[in-house]
Amino acid sequence: MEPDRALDDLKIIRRMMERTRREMGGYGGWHIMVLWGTIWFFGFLGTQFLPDAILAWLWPGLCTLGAAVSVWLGVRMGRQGGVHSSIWRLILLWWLPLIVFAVLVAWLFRLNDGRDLTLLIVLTVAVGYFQTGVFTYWVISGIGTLIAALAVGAAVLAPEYFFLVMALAGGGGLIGSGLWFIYHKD
Amino acid sequence: MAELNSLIHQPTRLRIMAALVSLDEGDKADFTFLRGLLGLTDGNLSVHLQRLEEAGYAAVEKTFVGRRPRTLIWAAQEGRAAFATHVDALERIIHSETNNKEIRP
Repeated sequence: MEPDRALDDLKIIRRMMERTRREMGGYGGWHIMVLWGTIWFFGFLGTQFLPDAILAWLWPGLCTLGAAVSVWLGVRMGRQGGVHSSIWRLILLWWLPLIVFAVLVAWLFRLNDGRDLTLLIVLTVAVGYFQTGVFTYWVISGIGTLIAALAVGAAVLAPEYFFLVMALAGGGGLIGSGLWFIYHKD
Repeated sequence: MAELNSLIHQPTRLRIMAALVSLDEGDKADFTFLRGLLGLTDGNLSVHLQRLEEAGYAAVEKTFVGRRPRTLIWAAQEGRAAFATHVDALERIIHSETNNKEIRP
């Protein structure tokens, strides 16, 4: 066999392996990232500019919608097939105690301030992404790290624009990352 | 020295095996997922999977979800080992050529 042909075969193998791993996540995972990026975008943008009376409805509404669409995507994933992986059960088991931990921290430390609560939620999500990336794709850990750095940086350096930064960079970042993975197949 | 595996060497089966060994051990790919991923027809994918299954490289499990049939596929241990040996052989061909070029005046 000619070395050029061997090299071509190795390239085909590498591309196929990369694409398979990406498509595994693409069966719902990246769509859910875009969905929650959109919720962050409109939620935080509203938090920055809208009065409290509207916000009292905005976030519960967005989160309920997000949860419903996430469940729908999950059911759709199950029907369409994809990859039956045990790793996602472990990841789900990791996210559940993490969410319980965040709720307990908010309750025990009496976090009532909107920005403190937001920071806690965003950092919880960032830790969740980081851990998910350790078991799946390192780029997700990178996204988690960026979200954490962004949230802490905005809270410390530009507290008056905290929600705006979270909407544009946080929400926008999640939307952009999700779309990139969905459409960047090869 | 590792040798090329004639069964895996075939272009479509090479892609199928590359996809299957990308899955973690214990994970299984749905037939429709694999078909979409590889851009193959049902018949074409079935034929190649049968060859791989006969060689002991791939394992196939047919189940039902409600009334709908579902076919799950994964790389068997023997298939993973054969694929690794095949990749090793490809790398050796490239490296041997590189070495030859370095030796030549």
